[in-house]
Amino acid sequence: MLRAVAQPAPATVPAAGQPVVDVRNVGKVYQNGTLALSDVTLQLHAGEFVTLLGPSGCGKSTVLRIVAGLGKPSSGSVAVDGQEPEAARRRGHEMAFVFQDPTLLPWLTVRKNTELPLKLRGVGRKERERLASSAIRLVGLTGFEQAYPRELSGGMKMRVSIARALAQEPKVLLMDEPFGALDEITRQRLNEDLLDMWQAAQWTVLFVTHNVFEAAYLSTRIVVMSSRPGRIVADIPVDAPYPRPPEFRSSPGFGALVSAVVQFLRDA
Amino acid sequence: MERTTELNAPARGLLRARSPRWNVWARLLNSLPPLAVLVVMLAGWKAAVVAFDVPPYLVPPPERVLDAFREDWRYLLEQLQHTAKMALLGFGLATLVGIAVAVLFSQAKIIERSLYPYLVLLHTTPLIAIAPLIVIWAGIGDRSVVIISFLISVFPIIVNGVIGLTSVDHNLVNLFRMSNASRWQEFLFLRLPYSVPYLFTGLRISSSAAVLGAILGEYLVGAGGVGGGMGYTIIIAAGQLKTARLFAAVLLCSLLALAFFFAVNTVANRLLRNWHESSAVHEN
Repeated sequence: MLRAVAQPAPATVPAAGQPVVDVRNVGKVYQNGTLALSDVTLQLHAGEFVTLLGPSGCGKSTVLRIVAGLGKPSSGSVAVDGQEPEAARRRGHEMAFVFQDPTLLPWLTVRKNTELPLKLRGVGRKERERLASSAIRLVGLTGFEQAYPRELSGGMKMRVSIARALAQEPKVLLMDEPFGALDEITRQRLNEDLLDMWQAAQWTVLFVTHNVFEAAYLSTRIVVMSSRPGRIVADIPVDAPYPRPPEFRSSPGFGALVSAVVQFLRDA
Repeated sequence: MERTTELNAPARGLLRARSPRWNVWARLLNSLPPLAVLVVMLAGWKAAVVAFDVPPYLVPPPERVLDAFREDWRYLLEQLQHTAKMALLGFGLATLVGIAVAVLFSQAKIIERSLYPYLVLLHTTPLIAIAPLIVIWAGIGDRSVVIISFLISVFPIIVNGVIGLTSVDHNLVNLFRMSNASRWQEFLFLRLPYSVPYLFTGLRISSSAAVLGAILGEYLVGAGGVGGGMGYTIIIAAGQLKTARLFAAVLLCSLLALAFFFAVNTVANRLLRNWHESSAVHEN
């Protein structure tokens, strides 16, 4: 429905098999001379759920920001749907970003927060309300539309943040350690809900985390990064089928996967 | 599909309203301690005047001040009205100009860097030193009084406004960029509302400063005679050693400044109670 609002870009419609997110030999040097990323190459195909896993400060968030077009690479190239990230963003509902913190506007209600990106893009009120309602329902916050962020718990705020991303009907969902500040139980539940939503909507997800269990539970692929400078040391496909029930976390296959990934992190 | 369980209860429960009657009682109860202090202070004042036999032209007893009110209330209120008008004009002007300048400063670092030193210089120059100049330029009259009130109250609004407009959380800015927001949208929907609590910090300080400025202005413009305001009333009363009247005037000035502060505070609480910690009601 919303895609119709976006301007058509016939020349750049991706051919089958072309990656949705294409990061090639990206390096990043900060102004103070710090080498943050070195030769990062990463492709995401439609419908994949890829986690970028690595220790704090390894540059995984930097990769995410570069894909989002919030930062420019010092070398190499990035394409989203065959275009520069910023151009892809301007074209329509290509990308939504979920930040580490809920990043809500405290003076807006849950509903208004969810509608904000749509409002900024000039989506009409009726359509905004429809998309926001459905996103709020999807994250399980029905009944809280008129609440203000300060009345919500940390987990609920994060749900609003996710609803805000979902309401944009993104093709690519970029998530920067969205559940890092939450307690274990809340995090697990949000992981499960996120997978349900991903299966229904079939976004391409790039998910940054430093939590091995989270990465193993969620991903179709785990990309392990090492620090200083950040580079990719392993690309591990996860074969387990979806839907993944909570019990998946205690299966032998899960344990083996986690130890393999941890080994890569240690060696890095 | 929806595995969430605990979250589906309606949010209304979180926003429990307090009964109005409970509120009135709480307020009465809250105002008891300061009232008790007031009574003790008045009694101490009276006792000291009697005990040390202080002449009334130095310190009049409380009832003499009350008498001064009773005799001159019409004149005093007239003067108070004038001062209130001057302060309101000065404060209003300071609010408009202060916000405008803060917005201008927040647009580019270069503007802020080049103009800020002069603003600070203007603020640190003792107003009492440049006030005569203002009177020479703007004339002996209300215009000078308003300008002095304005000058004394504009600075806190600018400083706090600039801080508010420029200290927006970086990721909120990124969120707006991700939504392809224009500069104008970013200003209107993010920076401006974000700066409101900061702005009110400035406005609170300025509200009482504006009253001070108006009184100072009247004090200096002085000989205006009719409608000279509280500042004028105070120097005349002091000159004539009408100390009881002076006390009454001082008390009215305090009340006026208090009223200004309260008005600003009320507006701030109205605007911010839903989202800002400074105005929130907690039920731990």
